[in-house]
Amino acid sequence: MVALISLSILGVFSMIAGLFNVNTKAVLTISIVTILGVLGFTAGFHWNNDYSRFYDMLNFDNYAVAFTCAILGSTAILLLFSEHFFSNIKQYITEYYSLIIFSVVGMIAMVAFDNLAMLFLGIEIMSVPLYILVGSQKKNLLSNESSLKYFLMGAFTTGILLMGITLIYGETGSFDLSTIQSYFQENATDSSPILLVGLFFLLAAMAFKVSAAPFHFWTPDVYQGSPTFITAFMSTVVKIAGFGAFFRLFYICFAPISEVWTTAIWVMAALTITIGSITAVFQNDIKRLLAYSSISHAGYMLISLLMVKNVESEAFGAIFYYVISYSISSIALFSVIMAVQKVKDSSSIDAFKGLAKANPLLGIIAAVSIASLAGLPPTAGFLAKFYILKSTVESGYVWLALIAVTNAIIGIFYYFKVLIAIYFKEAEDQSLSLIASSLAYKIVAVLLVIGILVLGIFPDLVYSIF
Amino acid sequence: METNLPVDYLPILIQFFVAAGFVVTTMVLTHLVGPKRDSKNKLESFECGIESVGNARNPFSIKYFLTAILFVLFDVEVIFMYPWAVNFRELGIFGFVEMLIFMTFLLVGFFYVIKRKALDWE
Amino acid sequence: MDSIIRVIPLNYYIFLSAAIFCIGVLGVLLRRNAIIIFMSVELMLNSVNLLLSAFSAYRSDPSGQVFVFFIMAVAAAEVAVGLAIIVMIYRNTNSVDVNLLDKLRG
Repeated sequence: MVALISLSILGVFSMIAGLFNVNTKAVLTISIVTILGVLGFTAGFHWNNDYSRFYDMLNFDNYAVAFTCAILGSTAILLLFSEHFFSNIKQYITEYYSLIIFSVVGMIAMVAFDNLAMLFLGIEIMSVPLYILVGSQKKNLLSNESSLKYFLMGAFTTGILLMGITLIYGETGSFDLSTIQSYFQENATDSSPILLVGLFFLLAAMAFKVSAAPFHFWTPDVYQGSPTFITAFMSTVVKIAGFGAFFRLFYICFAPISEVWTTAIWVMAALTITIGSITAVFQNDIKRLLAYSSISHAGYMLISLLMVKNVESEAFGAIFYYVISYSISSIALFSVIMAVQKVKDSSSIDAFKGLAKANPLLGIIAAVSIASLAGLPPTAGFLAKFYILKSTVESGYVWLALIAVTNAIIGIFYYFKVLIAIYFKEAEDQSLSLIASSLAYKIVAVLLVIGILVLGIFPDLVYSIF
Repeated sequence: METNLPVDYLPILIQFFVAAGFVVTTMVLTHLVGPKRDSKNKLESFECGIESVGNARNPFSIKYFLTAILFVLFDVEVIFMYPWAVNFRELGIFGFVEMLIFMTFLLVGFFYVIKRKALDWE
Repeated sequence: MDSIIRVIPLNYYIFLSAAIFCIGVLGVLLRRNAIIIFMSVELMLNSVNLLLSAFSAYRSDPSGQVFVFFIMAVAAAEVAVGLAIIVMIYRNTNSVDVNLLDKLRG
């Protein structure tokens, strides 16, 4: 509630600040400080203090608070890294901040919704600024193309989502999550075709938003074409919000009829992991590679939806730990990509040759974050995969666990392709040694690396908060 | 109102056919009866006056586009005022304040549009 | 008001909306002009609006109609952003054919 209001005002403020040529550094500082303040307030005030507002439209329970904090924290870290991105842009910088902040407002509504209307509004408030941000390089044809693709696919999915919501409304007579849930509990055995169609429309729409196969085709194109900073935003913060909403909708609201949709999720998760990691092997563009890797990570997160029969807090802990570890590892890796792109105009893997020799700090950051994304101990990514797979086996999905493990091994292969380029290849020219990072960048990046390692050694910091 | 049966729609159906029939008959009749004199001048978009230049499908000024889009945006927001107007008395001061906040946000957007000179013609 | 709406059986509304929705989906999948794809998306949204109002009238529950307001407002915002994107692409390529947009692949 407070988070939504103060962030909306912050968004309007930075939009207006652009009109009066306010110093962009000042706007950035104010934005980061406000976001961190809201984070602190949300964590301190709402934790263990369920808080329903807007006539039960939003409910800030512990789950929503945890995801809100993850979203706000990732956004703040990304904004700290934004110097490389915004140094190339001459005008409308504060408008970028304001669009990002408005998008974050939508995400908070997405993870805290208690009413399908709020889910729809949250998804739209998140997506509409993203369409603009993806196409923000107006003269760049790639950016244009990815923007149009994302927009057309996103608008199409909005239609599917709305049809799903409408059909469920027609059958249950309410948009309210708890009413729908109790309807399912009473009528768990007879599920009418209308309800099933609605359920699968919702499933398809949410799968699109988190880019799970077979609804992932937009992801590589959009990730490659958009500005790198926006790619980083989409593959971390947007993904957290997407999974927050997906999980809240299916795990909480549709849990009583879980046997209807668990098979679909099983197939989707297996497909997503396999397609993501096998296609990633053949990629030469790092943004495209990370797009496919993010698809396969989405598959692992989908698996956690299958633990419906397990202890609730364990499933929450597993998904939240995965989301956090994936998010900080990706942000760390993207910060390196942004730094390299500042001196080289290419995002192919060849551009990273000899990075470790030219700039040891960036080399270490890349190494740790790639190890975490590939799932190697002692990083957070290893335990994240471990917890998910452990409960997969415990829930009886042994085959799915086998598929996941096989693909994790394939994953190590393609991640190491990048790492080999960074450490064991000679640089083609001297431009990499020109990378100059500010002190703030170095401090935040080192903190992120420490965070990845600390989470990997003390997982209970995040895993058992629920 | 209670006697709404499908049969009651018969007059509408008849009228529909009469209207369609009239259009078809007149078009066919004028086509058959009327004299035909095809010539180049006859096929011009504008038969008299200045000779037309170029293609009609030229991209027009982007200014129209911006104005049209902004109109759509601000126009549609008015739908939120209908429920408020219907329940004006019941909502009382609370609804009034809410609507003021809503309008303020809209006006901030409008202010931004004007300041960015999106509505300037020159 | 309600009595007129309820003279027509609810199934008819569902069939009509499903038909319009399918026309919209087919339009998105088959057409190649960005503007027509966009119009098809709007068709999908409007079929949802129709169905929501029908459900809402049949259940005497106003929340469905309020939802329609939100869909309309959000659709307007999407139209603004979408048309801006299409105009941006038209300026750069002089075309709105989505088949020409195939630079991104790997």
